[in-house]
Amino acid sequence: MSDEALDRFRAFLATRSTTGATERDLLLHEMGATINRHRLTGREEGMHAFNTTQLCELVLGQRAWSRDQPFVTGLMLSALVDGEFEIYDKAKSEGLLPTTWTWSAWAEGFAGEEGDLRRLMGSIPAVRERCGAACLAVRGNPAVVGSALLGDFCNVHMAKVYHRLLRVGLAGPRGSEIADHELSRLAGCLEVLFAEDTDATLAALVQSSSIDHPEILVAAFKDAAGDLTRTAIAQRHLERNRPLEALSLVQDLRFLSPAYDQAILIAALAALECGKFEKAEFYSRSIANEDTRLKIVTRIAQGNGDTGVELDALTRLYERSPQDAQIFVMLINVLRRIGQTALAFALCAEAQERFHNDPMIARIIRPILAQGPGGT
Amino acid sequence: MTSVQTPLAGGVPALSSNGRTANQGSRAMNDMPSAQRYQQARVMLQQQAPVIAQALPEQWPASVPTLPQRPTLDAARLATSTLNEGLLLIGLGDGSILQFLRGDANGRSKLVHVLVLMPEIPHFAHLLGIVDLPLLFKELHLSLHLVLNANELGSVISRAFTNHGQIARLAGTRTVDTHALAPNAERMRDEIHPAIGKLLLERYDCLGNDVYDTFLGAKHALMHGRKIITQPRSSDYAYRYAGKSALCIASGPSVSAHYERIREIQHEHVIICADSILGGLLKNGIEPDFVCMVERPDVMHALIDGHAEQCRTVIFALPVVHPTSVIPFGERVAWFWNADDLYPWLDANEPRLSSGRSAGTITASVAGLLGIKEAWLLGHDLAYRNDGQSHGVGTAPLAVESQAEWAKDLSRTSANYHKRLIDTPKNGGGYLQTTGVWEIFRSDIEGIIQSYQGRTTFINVNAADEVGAVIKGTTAGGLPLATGVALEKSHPQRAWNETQWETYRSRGRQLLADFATVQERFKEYDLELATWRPLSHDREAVESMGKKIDLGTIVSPENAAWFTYVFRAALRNLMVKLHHNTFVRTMAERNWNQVQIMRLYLHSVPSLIERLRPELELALKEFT
Repeated sequence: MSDEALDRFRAFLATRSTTGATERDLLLHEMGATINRHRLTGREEGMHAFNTTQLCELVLGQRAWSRDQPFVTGLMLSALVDGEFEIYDKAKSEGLLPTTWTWSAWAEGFAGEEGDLRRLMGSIPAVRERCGAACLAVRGNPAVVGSALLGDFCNVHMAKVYHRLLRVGLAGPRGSEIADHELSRLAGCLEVLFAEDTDATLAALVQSSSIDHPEILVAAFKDAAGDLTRTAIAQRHLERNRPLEALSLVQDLRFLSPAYDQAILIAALAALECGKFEKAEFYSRSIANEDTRLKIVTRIAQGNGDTGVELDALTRLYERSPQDAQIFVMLINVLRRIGQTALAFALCAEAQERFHNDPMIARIIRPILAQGPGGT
Repeated sequence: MTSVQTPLAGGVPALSSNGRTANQGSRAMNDMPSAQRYQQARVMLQQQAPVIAQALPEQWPASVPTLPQRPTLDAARLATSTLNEGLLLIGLGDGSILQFLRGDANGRSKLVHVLVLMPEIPHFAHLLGIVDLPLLFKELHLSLHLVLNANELGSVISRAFTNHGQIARLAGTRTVDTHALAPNAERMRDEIHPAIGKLLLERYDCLGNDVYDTFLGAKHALMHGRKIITQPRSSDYAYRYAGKSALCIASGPSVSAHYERIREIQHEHVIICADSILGGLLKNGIEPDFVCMVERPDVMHALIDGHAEQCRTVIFALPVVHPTSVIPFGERVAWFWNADDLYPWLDANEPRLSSGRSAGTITASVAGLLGIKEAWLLGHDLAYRNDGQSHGVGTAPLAVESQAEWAKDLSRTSANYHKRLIDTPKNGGGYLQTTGVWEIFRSDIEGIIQSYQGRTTFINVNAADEVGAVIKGTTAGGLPLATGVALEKSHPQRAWNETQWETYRSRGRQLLADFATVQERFKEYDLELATWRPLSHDREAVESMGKKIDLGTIVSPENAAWFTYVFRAALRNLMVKLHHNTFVRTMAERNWNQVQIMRLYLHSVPSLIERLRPELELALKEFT
């Protein structure tokens, strides 16, 4: 029997762009192989691990399936877990959600607390539906994610949901509290950590956490922590005035590391803090962001007492960002320090309109303009 | 320098450093002037990759336009951000991407295929003057492929990912296409990019993903019993018609237009046909010398039912075809030793040949095997005719009907490549509609034709008639005129002895014992692996477990090839999964992924054995 709503849903799936052609085919090949093994052995053969892309193709290819077929409803749930809400929305708009999914009504506009959500989830007997409900509930209410909710999903079978909720939680108002807790918890649930990119997860946890010495906790994860985590720890050392520790972590990071740009900045700042100006200058050469690089060069020059380099860097910064008050003040100061009063006067005259709403700048400019180009 | 040279289709070679044995004089090159270094590199390339060398200018181009570095650095960073195994660089740029990769441990660990595009030859030439080429080859797992034009991409990609192992590895290969190129090379990259995507996708299709399908082939081979030993094989027919001519007849829509002419000249040429057109030819008074069959399902006998008894035709069949398809031919059977991994198990001494994947493609292969000098291809349309016809008049109903049924699901966006509608170049210009599976057959026959280049000339009658799909490597021409001189035809007998049969028989009988051994050992390893947790085992331990669960080392040595063949789909597909999972940043993740895949394998294979054992027992009745 034809199901027009399901046909429209399939047409929608067909129009969605998938990943690159080879990636898509790889997933299809793997899916086909898994199904073949399943047919022969009767075992699950990893069928539970199909992702949303694979389920889309499966639903598209099996035109005889009804809307209640487990893979069809499984696709809707998988889409919720993977954050591909447009699939869920389309299924809903076509009236394809199973009538038994009463949870979708409260989950969509969920505005309660974490405890309320957990109670409501407890009323959903099907595990997969519980996963979908949680992801739907936090869609518009990220603040509801806390360690208790995460704990409900911190197991191998629901690890994908755990990671989804963790990402939402870390970006929300309770990010720091969640990060502190989950860093400790994951050390005892390594399989859950390994369900997704370990380095990126650990780095995100370190960045969000308030822990003074995250490296102590991260040690438990050994080489699951990579360059991203290492750089995040270095940043924490730098923030907490431990430049030497920061430097030791990032100074030999490989040039092609995805964390290199951040690491080299930390290295330059850490070297600067340690008074290792030569090293700081060396690291600063590779800083990709030109503004940042010039600021570091300025600080190195200030530390070295090299006024020429300082003036040059500040001039270039001023040219790039004439509205930046801090750069302006630093430039005026160095000009006056080296006796370039006429130039300082001219710059102040030119800038007074731009900074007319800035009382601090006005206080600096006023006496310079009063003194005139000669500075007297 | 002993880099491996891989000849590519059309004579375009790839320069590869798979052996990673750079010459010992590389250090001396560091101090060499660029122009001299360039000439040395040219000499090396002339020996290792003459087509690449030929494209290079005589003199070293001392300067070339500079290219922006940042996009290349970003591309290199992305390329090395994970522990995946391979890179496919579309374009070389100024070569700085190779310099970035060689300076990075992750970059050095990858197999890097570089498609050097024709417009960037000046940059490539310049690079040869400023880098130490042997050293570069030593430091990187590098394969260079020159792409002169888009038409060559098929050969380049299929050579880059040749066999099952490499195709599975494709899943762990990242395509790098954002590094800076010279403007005209960038234009070429944009042009060829979709074609590369399509070709990579076709490579996956070359991986079987069904264990049962593979097992069926092995089972059928066993069901033929001693006939595999006693009946003639491809080697018995090698060069039997050396210097003669043949007609290779498939069942495309164009074939029926030629029946009359074929009938007139049939006794002057070797007539080789596909299974589905045998009945049509006999009905039109043509008695083929050989009918070819490659497909294994039991139902295939319907293609020859009622015909085998009416002719003296010999069936050239792969041993994987079902006995019901060959029994009607009595002793008029010849086994074609295909390139598949099953054949060394049947007889490792028999040379293996590519049959292609259809009864049409194998007709060309048989012609080549026979030593034919000129082979006319008839009915090799490999596309729908403009009126939608898929087969010629006289084709077996089973073929026509099953094609029609199968075609119901064809679409341009089908997820299944076999069922995808595609436009293919038509003889005489323009395009015809074809399917993914016919495109695969077309690639197969082109490969077969290429492999007999210089010995057999393939003349495509369709090319002269301007119908059907273009088949590269053929020449256009009509059927030859009758000369009145008949070709003397005969068939060989096979020389064999009981020892050969006994050896083969004992291997077959051992299979069931090997099944039991695998189940027992896999159970042990599964228990062992169940205790493994993330971070608890290092790379060495994981690799060592990987070796332990290699089926080829568990079963009796004489049956290693059989098991590797039968379970290759299970293994390769899990390898695809594994390679795909190498897009991770840390070795700990890579190890854990491998453990998960090994667990799945350890669960899957014993279950598969349970499923296959009863059928194997039946198949081995001939061996008791």
